[in-house]
Amino acid sequence: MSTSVAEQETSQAALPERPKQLAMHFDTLHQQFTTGKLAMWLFLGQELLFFTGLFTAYAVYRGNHQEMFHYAHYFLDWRLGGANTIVLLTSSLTAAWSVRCAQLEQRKGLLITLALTFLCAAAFMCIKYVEYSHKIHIGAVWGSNFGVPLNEFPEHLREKYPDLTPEQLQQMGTGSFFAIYFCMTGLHGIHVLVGMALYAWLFIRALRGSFNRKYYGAVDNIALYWHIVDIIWIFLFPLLYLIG
Amino acid sequence: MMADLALGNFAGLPLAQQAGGSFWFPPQASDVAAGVDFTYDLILWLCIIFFVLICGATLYFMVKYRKRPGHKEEVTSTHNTKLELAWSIIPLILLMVVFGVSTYWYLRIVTPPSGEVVEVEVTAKQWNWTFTYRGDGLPAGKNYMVVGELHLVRDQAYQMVMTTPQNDVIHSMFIPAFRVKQDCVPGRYNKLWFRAIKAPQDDGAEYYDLYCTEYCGNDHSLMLAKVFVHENKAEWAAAVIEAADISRLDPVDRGKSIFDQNCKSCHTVNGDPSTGPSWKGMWGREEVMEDGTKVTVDENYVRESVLQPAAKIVKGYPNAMTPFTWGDQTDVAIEGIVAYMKTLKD
Amino acid sequence: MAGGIVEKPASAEVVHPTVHYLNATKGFKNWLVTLDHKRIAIMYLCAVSVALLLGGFWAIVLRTELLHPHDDVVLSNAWYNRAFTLHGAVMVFLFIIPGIPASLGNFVLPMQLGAKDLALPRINLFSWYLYVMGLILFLGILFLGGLDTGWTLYPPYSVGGGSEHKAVWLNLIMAYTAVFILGFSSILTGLNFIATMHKLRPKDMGMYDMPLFLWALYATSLIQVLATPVVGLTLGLSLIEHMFNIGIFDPRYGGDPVLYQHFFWFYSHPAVYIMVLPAMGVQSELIATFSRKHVFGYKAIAWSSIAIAAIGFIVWGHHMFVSGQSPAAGIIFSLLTYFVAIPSAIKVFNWVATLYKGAIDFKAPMIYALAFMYLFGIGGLTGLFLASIANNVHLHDTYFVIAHFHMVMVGSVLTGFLGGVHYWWPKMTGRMYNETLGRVAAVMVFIGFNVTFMPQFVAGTRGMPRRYANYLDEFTTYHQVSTIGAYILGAAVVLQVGYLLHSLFKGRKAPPNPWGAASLEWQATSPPDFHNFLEKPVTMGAYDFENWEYVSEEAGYVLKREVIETGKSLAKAH
Repeated sequence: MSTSVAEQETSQAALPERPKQLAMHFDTLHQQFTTGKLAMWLFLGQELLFFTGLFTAYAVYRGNHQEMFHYAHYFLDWRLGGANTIVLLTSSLTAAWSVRCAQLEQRKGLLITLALTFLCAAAFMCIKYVEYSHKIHIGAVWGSNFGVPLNEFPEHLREKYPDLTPEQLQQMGTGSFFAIYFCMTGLHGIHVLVGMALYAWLFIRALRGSFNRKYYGAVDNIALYWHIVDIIWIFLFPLLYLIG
Repeated sequence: MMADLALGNFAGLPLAQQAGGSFWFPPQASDVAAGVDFTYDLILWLCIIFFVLICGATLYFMVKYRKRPGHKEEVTSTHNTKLELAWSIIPLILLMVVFGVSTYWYLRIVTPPSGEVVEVEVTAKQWNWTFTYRGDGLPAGKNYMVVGELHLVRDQAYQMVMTTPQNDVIHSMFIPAFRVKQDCVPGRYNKLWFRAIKAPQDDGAEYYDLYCTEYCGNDHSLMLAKVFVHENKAEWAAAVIEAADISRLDPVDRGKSIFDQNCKSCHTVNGDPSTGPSWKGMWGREEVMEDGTKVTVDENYVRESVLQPAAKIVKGYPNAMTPFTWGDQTDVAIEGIVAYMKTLKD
Repeated sequence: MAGGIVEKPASAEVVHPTVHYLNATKGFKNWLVTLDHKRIAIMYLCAVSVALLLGGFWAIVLRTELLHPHDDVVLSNAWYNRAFTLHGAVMVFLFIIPGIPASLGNFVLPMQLGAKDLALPRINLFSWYLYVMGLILFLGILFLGGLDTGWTLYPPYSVGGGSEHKAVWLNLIMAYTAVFILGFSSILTGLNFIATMHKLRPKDMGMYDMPLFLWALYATSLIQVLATPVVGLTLGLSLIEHMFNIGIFDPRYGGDPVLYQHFFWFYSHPAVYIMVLPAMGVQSELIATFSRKHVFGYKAIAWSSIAIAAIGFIVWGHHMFVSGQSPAAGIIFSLLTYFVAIPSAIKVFNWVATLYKGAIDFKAPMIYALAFMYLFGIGGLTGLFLASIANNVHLHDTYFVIAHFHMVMVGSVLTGFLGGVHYWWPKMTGRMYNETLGRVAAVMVFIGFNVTFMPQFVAGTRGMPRRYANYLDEFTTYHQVSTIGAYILGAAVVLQVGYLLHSLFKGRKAPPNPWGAASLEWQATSPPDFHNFLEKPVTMGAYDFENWEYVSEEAGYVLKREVIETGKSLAKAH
């Protein structure tokens, strides 16, 4: 967001030879582009710190409740998480491709890659919806609301620990695991939704032909944002789904 | 009320001091206090030197180089590496000395002595301190709970094992005369040790002050306790047994103390409903119960509600109370509660 | 300036622009959608002033309540707790953090670079709206019955632990949301500033040619971008905890309240430097300008800002020495805390050295700067007692801490802010305030601070805990003296509001450069043109005072003819 808006700045004092996308306080399109990009990198820096807090919380709770984290991870289906990883990686590829298309002024390619990125993000959210609704349905939720009946225990968990009871799991504070799970994936999900909105907006602008090889900062910066969303998922997936 | 503010308090200048203290500090009543104060003085003198240098130079320049007719600024060098290094490195060395001294005394504060250390359980809740004593000259097998009074023996090391109930908030125990402080966190046990080497009576005072220093809500500023230091174990044991004996109190005071300690978190005495009904005006009133029956609030109902709270619940309130007993003092306690409730009739 | 030859001024005629940024377009609506950094700065200045007055009002009420040890002079215990919460939260989140960067920085930063605007004007306006939303939410909390959690919002008390404040459910949600939003306002301002300094700086101006105020803002922005997200996340989690009982911070549901403290101070300690660094930047400008000396040790001051910002990230644990963290961690945090003292000391020494052989002009901003030196001296040095872990155990959460951080936050930040407002007032408004009243108010502020906070140091070492609505009789004198000091401060602020507002209508018209300062903004007219500069300013070192000469009180200082003709600074390379 932070970059694209500045670029639309229309100038009251623009001289006739200035490109119409060049804001009044910049001298060249190149200066405007690099400014936007620097701002985006700074924004990504703060995004990283934002998530770092949650990763720290994860590490602290994991350190204090190793056993509980082990049991709890059986409730997450690595196949769904894996599918989401593939979907998201694909979208990163198309996002990167869209930047190339914008640079080369390939209008059709740009529209297709933007649309694909949007669709992958949507697919990610659909899979997320399936996961969330199942967890809420069986009671694998946050804090003291946690309470999964024995018949809803995942098969692997029941095979490996036949003596584990729902009460034990509850007393262990498994709700904390799910508090962290929902906070981390939820916050990530919000970022995916924001990304979808941004890609929809880019698609409309691309349809209108707003971008050219000198002016494609928005496509580039939003792709950067999309990559960070992707990278965060790359960390979330093994931490939550894979290691037990 | 403003009249009370009569500036008479200023007549007390120079500033009023607690008996036995210095300008800066209360008495040095624990074996770490002198060391802590030494560190303070060390830093204080360093600060005074630097402060006088900085402000002295500033004042001197302000006078000497003030703008006035005939005076003009001169161009001087804009940096001087040697000078700048000197005023960076010298303070750094001084600070490392301070750090060393301070850390030495900190380690003394946090490391309990190897000899005999008597444990006292401390429970902090909104808004009082409960100290539980056992053994060490007290009749075996019994716990002595005392609210708001910490009893110690001179020269004996004590370890406070401190906690606060899961549903309460963070508190912090602070005894200025001992220069110690430690937070009490819900669901955790924190420890704090100290040894009194001085008694308040040495300076003509009755007790040392103990404060809560972590903000804990409405009556945070009233969450105080008294620290008594006795000369020997026999005196100490007698004082603990007496303080723990609630029957010595007048029934109304006893009831109020029990209320403050145990009931205040769910009941009020000003008529506002809380988790449970307010005690104000409750005595003798006919209350409608959850099942629609009516019960008059009298001795029998109060006794039942204390011992078996779930038996009869006033309509509109949750069944949230846990039963209370006070060992062999249960009857005395309930007598106190009844007496206190009677005073709240209107 | 050898030889003392007085050259003829280039132009003794004062240009008072008839069209400038304040009246380029008219109407309320034009201001609300403006992208001009100067107008946004003015809107920030108005908003933070409202916050300052609101926070100050609560301070006066608190001090009045503390006139008597246990009677309720004006407030019950419950309202005392709400009053100190609102005082702290409003002052910290709405005044001290955004105060200098968002108002003065916003105005001055592009101009000191000779630029037309900040890099991202829309983001700038957006962050102002975020700020105003935060302000409105806090006002809402006030009207809905306040909040008594303390500005630190520690769980479990804040999220409903214990027996109190079940009724403030909504207020707490508003508080979390407000701080979260304000955090984003702060982040966006920070990244905007960094981008501007890197990308809009003229090619012939290196980083070391920038005024030190900009270095200070640069360091501030770094912290804003890197620390603020953590508090955003923390309060976001607290909000979710409060609404859904998820058990991250609340021990009733298995959470860890001490983790909150770590997260909170990971931001809030660096935030202290977000507050004080810009004030130090203003200080560097004032000291140099009013002693007419190139600032001593430019690089040391510049890099000490960055050093403070960097070390500031790793000292948060010194707020938690008695929270139950391990003694080893405590000792490490204590050591690191001492390291912050060095760059701060370096700055002070350099300012003193700057005065050497100057021509010190005791204008109102300079009185603030000298007061800063003294008050920051005390604030900084008393920090050494608190960094000492053995003393900290005794002093933690007592009035000593209160006095210490007020000396830094108020004594330094507020004097820095007021000094800066007076310094740039002619540039921002085109009017001169009454100099005599300005000096009187500055002296009152100085005296008021000392009377208010000096007794609190002693009350603290004697054991007076903070956040106490009632206290033991032995502390009465300290509190009463302190309250009188607060009244003096209050009177000074009222006086300032009076003469500054008066100057807007009746003040003498300001010349472009009334102080003889050398940074680029003084080459613009007062008030500046909508595009800041009518013609490209002569790039020069920020402290090349020899390029300016005094003409008269009406005309102020003007650039020497030589400078205008050659377009080059007269200063030799230092």
